[in-house]
Amino acid sequence: MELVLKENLTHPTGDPFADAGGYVIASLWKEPALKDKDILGLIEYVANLYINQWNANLHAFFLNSKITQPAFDSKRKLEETLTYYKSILNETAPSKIGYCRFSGRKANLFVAGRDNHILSGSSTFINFHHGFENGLYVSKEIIVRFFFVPLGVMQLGDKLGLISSNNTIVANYYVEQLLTGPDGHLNTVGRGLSSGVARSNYGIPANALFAFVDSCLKNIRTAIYANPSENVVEARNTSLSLYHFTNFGAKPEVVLYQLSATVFGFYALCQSITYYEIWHPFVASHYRNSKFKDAKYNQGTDTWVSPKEELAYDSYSTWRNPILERLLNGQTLVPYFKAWISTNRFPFQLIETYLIYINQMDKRTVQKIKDIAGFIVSRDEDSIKKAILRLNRAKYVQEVRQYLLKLIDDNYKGGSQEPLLKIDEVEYLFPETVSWREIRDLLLIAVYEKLHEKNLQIATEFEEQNEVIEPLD
Amino acid sequence: MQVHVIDLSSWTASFRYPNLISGVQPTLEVPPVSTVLGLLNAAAGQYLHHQKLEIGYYFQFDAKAVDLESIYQIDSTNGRATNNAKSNIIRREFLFNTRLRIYLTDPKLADYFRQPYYSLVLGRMNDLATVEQITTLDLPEVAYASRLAGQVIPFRENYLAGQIQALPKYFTDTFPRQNVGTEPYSVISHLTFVKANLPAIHDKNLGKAGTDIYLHQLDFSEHDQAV
Repeated sequence: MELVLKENLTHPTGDPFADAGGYVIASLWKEPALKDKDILGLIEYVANLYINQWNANLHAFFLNSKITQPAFDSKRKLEETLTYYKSILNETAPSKIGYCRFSGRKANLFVAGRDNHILSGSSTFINFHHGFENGLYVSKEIIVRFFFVPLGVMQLGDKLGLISSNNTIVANYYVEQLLTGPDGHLNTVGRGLSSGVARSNYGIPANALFAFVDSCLKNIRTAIYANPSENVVEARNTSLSLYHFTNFGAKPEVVLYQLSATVFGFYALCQSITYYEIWHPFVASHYRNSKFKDAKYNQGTDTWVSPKEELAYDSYSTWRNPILERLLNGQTLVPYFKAWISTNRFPFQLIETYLIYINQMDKRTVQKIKDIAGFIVSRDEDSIKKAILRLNRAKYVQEVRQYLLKLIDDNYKGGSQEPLLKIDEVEYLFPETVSWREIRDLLLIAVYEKLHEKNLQIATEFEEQNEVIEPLD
Repeated sequence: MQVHVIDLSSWTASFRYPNLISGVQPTLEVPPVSTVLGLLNAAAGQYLHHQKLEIGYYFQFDAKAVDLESIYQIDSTNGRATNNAKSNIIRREFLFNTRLRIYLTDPKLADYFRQPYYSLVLGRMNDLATVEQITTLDLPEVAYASRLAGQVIPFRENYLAGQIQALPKYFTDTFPRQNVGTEPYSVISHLTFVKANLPAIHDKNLGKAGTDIYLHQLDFSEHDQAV
């Protein structure tokens, strides 16, 4: 008789940990050597791996579990583990009937604590759970799923990283590449090389998340793009959540990072053939590492070069990057665009997409900025130079306002039939939700873009503002 | 469609992830359905035994921050609390300057908010909320929502972008309380808009271009509310 329905072990529940465990179980059942095993067989297979190849090092997951118990030798660890999970599967362990708080199903519920579950609180302290219960009460399938979680996460800096997504193909892909990828557990275990939780190449959550997006864009295009064959960059609504956690000893912790669908879609657009050559150097030039303070980015070779060595993408992509971090944290990129575009070609169309879709800026605001920039660039070289200097040096909103009033006056005196700015357009140019500095920066960006477009070489005196420079470790 | 709208506000709010207990308490960016039904109970001053219920809501906040909070961990012997309590500090995320708008089709439920029986809180007891106004509006219905934000939407069959979490719809009035109707939801922050093949009502007064509100059709008839 089946001890448990396979679907209840693998169907998404909405809980990222239970779902990661479910994806691991589903992936293991796809393996020819494992497909005939029942769930207890899989538990035995994985328990053997944890005990004999990982040296039972699961302390960041399960505290005082049968496997991590130092008083037990390997044989006893395996026996005790199997006895425990058997008692859960055949429901002889203490239980009570109720609704599972993960799956919502009415079933016999078993207690989940720090020995068999992640971040569920200690049962030692009686008021951690409602009604003085000694843990979370969950169905047997959830207890079993959690046992497989270590195979579906990776070591990311000082904690563990679990990526989940609303796009189930993406969420499944994250786990599958840990299991069946080139360095996946199932490939290394046969060679006796699997020594523990997979290690990310990145120690920084933002880098790890965007590297995972890169991997999705490369390897599972049909899940990401609406029309992948036509190379139409219309990403499906895919969001990612990174749970950066540890359940270790007295310092359990979790930090959540959310990469929204709009940021995912924008990043996918930036990685497309149309924009990659422009976007990549912009991001690459912003990597920072305190050990390589004297290194400079070489756009031609796509390397960071210091007096001692030259570092390729594989090396420098592990450094901190304010562009990726700001994208992830919802902070503006406009000052960075402004600094970059003064010396590099960068299409305003991409910035416009960023402003409208990520910053949710009104299209009419963007259009007005473009109109004013067009007027500035239509004038003589000396006026353009002065415009850039005045806008860039403006420290108070009054200075920008005075300058715009002067432009309106110049436009009128120049005999233009249309006013540069109508009274009902002022609210679009200076919306309540956008700072005047951002509008000023966007004006400068639009001016530079038009100078690039017209191939006008003007000896501008652009001064970098302190606000752009962000201290990084 | 005629709906009864209750506007609430609070300085702070905190909606914990139901299954993250240890160390740090992050907050969801939108309350689960169960929290809003709990507010109805607090306003009514009694546990409401719903059979079928139509409800929608929208939640927004100005900022998110982390607070340090003292907790007291009570020791136990054989499952019974002792007099030994150990203090500790945890980090709790909270939302600042929040607004919750509830849409109800049953006027009787909306009336409870005219004179709430118990204090209304958006999270914990210090997250005290105020009823700003209660109105009745005629809102247009849309066959396909194009601007969903600030709400939770059932994940199954929709797979909408957002934070995916298993969240309860309600709790029993038993001791200990039991979650009812837990299922996966997309938690969609008010900061991002999502399209869906879902019917909704359109509230033009939420956000610059209005927001579509999904009305949850809750059916508790299959659930035993007294497990």
